[in-house]
Amino acid sequence: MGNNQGQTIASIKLSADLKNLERLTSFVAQYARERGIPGERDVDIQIAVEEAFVNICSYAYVGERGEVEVNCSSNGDSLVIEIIDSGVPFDITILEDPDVTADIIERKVGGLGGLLIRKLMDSAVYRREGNKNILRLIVRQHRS
Amino acid sequence: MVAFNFEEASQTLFCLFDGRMDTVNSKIATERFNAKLSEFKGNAEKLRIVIDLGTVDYVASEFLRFSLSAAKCVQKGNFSIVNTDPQVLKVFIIAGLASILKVS
Repeated sequence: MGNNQGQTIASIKLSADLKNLERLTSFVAQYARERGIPGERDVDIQIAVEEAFVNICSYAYVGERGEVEVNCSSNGDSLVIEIIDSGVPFDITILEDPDVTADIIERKVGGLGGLLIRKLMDSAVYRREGNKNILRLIVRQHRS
Repeated sequence: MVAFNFEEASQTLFCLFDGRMDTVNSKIATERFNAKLSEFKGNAEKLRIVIDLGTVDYVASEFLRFSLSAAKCVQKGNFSIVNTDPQVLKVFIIAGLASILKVS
């Protein structure tokens, strides 16, 4: 855990493997709790980070092993979480939302992870830097 | 993680989930559910499924996928999810599944 311009930063680097899911969500949950994020928002963060991580585990590294780095920082009443991988370019924030008005028969079972990220976070912004995918999530302690 | 209780009179399969339904646990629970459901092969038309989330406080999208897939296994109206806590209900609402899966 480090300090940068008054922001406390915590980082974790893991192999992109579902066996590391619990370790990652525990890491972000602890960081959020230590910054006074209320329980409900803490769970929102865990879900969003989980969905991003699972997506990387499933699709980022085709036929090879890879890593995921997660950096957490706090800024006032906001928490900033960056999820970084070196897999194939993929922007989860622009995936088309599933049709949430569809009948149960027509309703497709996919596409819900990206939807949860976008709806649970106050901001979810993707960028590609070099060979890295960077998903920046911002969550305020209290939603307006 | 998940326990099953079949009520013969009402042809209802009660599925009692327990704990954190993250991606990993939801995949395991899905396998167990599918194994259980195979016991009703041929009688699925009459079957009712009740998912009890009374002791679940966390669901990821994998559990939503499981829920939707499970609901498609039985006739419309024969599936429901009960005892959800507010945080879990919120996730179903966001996904647009609260109404069609009869989540309460």
